[in-house]
Parts: sequence; C-alpha cells; structure tokens
Amino acid sequence: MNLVKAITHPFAGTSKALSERDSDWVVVQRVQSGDVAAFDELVIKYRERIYSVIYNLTSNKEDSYDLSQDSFIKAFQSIGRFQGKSSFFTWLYRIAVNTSLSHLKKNRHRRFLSYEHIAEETESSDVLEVLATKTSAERPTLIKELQHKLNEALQTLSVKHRTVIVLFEIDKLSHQDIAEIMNCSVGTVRSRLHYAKKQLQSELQDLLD
Amino acid sequence: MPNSSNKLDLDQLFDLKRAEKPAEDFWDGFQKDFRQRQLQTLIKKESSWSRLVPAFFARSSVLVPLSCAAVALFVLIVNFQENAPRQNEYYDAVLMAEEIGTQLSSYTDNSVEESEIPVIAESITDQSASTASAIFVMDLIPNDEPESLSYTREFPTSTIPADNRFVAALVSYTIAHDSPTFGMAMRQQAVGF
Repeated sequence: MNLVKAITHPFAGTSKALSERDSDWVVVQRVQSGDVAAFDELVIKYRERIYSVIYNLTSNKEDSYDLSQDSFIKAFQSIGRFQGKSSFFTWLYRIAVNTSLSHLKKNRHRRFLSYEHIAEETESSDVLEVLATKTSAERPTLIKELQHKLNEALQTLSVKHRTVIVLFEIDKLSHQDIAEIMNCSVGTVRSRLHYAKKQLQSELQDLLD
Repeated sequence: MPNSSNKLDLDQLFDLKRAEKPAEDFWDGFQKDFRQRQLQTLIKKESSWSRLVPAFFARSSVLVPLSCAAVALFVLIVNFQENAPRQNEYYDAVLMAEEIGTQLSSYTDNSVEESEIPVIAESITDQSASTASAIFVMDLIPNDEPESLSYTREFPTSTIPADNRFVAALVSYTIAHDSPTFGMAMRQQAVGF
C-alpha cells in the first residue's frame, strides 16, 4: 500500500525513490492480480537487456529474437508463481539464460550470425593498423569486424564460462546477481570469470596488449 | 578504441560488444510479435486464466480495435453470404434489362402478334401512342421493398417505334421475365413539360 502511494505521489511521505526491485514488484503484482497489459511495461523495460544477453550468448540474431520472445512468454506464463523472493530482474535473467543454454545444447554446431555480415576476412593485425589511420567514416566497418572477432572468441568458451563473461563484462551484473541467475556460489562465478578471461585473452592475443 | 601501441585491451573489446545493438525500429516488431504470442498463450490457457482475459481485453489499446475489426469482418461476411443470392438475381435482372434494350432496335411492328398483348399493358400503350416526346423507362423493383427502385433503364423514344402494339409486347416480355426477387415494370415518362 505504501509502495502504491509512493508511486502515485512520488514527492509525498518519505519521497524516497523506489528501488528497481520494488517498482518491478509493484508491476508484477498488478499482472498477478489480472492486469495482464501491465506485463508490457516489464517487456519494454527489459527487452533490450534480455535480447542483448541472449545475443551475446548465441551470437545469432535470428535465434536471439526467438529466444527473447520465448523467454518473455515463459516469464508471462510463470509470473503467477513468482513470489518476489528474488528480484524480478534476476528471475527474468535466469529464464533467459536457461532458455539460451538449453537452445545452445540442442544446437551445438549452429553457425553464428552477427548483425552485419563481413564478407572479407581481414587479419587482425591489419585491422589494428588500419584502425589507427582510418577516418571516422571508415571506422564503423572496422568496429563491426572487431565485434565479429570477439563473437568468434566467445563461441570458443564453454556455455557456462561464456555466460559468466557476458553477464559480468558486458551486462555489468554483480557477482551476487550472476550467482543467483546461474544458481551457483559467488566463488564459482569468480573462478569461472577468471578462467574465461584468460581464455579470451589467449584467443584474441593478436588484438590485445 | 586503439591505444597508443595500436593494441586493444579486453575492456575496450567489451565496450564494442556492448555497442552492438539492433536498430530502434526493431523493437516495434518485437513488441507486436510478443503481444500476438501473449494473446495466443492467453487463449490456450483460457480455462486456468479466465479471470485475466477480460482485463487484458479491457486494457489493451491494440487488441480492442483489433477485436472490433474482427467482429465487423465477421458481420460483413455473414451479411454478404445472406445477400449473395439476392445480389446474383439483381445482376441477372439488370443483364436482362440491358438485353431488352439491345433487342429494341430489332423489333418491328410485324414481329409482335396481337395475342401477345396483355391486358395489363393497355393503359400504358394507350398513353404511349399519343406522346411522341416520351421516353420509356423500365424499372427493376425489389419485391420485398416495392417502394424502392433498384435499377432504371431508359429507352428514348427515338429507339422505339411509336406503336402501341410494340410497347405492349415489350411490357409483356418484361413481365414474363420477372424473377422471384425483382419485378420488372415498364412505364412511360413524359419529357419536355
């Protein structure tokens, strides 16, 4: 009740801003009480982050689209059972990550597809030399090439290591959140992160310091 | 971006990866697809989610017009199916009227026998004989709504020989070809008054 008051009268009472977790919980309760359209608010809020994490795990835009849709539908179907013990955001991420991992297990040899197909493979050393000298108009192509190479390197990691790297380094989640999402300890997260970064550095040694 | 030694560090690569996003308009299609799938889910789960469905329809700004359009389309289809036989008869009757029009030029006094003239046509033919500046009008009249004319075909007098017998025969012809839904009626319409 106080939460609702704080939303409708944000400057009344304590005037303390609601945390993301609390504001999500209010929307979740609206959906649970029959306001199905309120789920749109959650989709709009998290669609980019969910799509991003799935894309970074699969490196395939078509699969990412379908898996993101699947994740939101699964969340919608299960929201009646969500009790708010964890944040909605980690709960939704867990659904997205599990959906992606399940898909990756079924499609181990699937070729990844980046946003921009790069027709000509350029050697990484060439890329760096050119990047330093090219004009700003030519840089986007080279940036896409670097993104492509990182995608390739990510695909060499196991799905568990890839997931940790994506959630920590790209999505900037905390170790604690990642541990909740992956249902493991914070120590395991740190260990996987360390190993994954080491392997990535090895894969990308031509590009890196 | 590259540092002084032309090399990147891993964080810079992650920054590039973070910037890898679909275009803005991508999300419109995404949201639309999601709503469709959400609706399908609701329909499938109707029995267990029955309390949520009315709220969904009541609040969605997209689905309400869509539902109205679906209902309107359904009504149109049903209406079309109900009216289809009537429409077909109407077009047949119009074609028949047009055919009569084209046959006018081929009629002559000699082509019509005395016995073909029905009594009902006599009042018309009497008038037509005395009105050289008239045109003859054939109406298609819906039987269920006799007050409304649904089709009118005019025959200028220049195309019709000014002969009582011929006009009476024409009226006889049209009455003989009445359809169950549409009646044909020939009338004389004076012009120049």
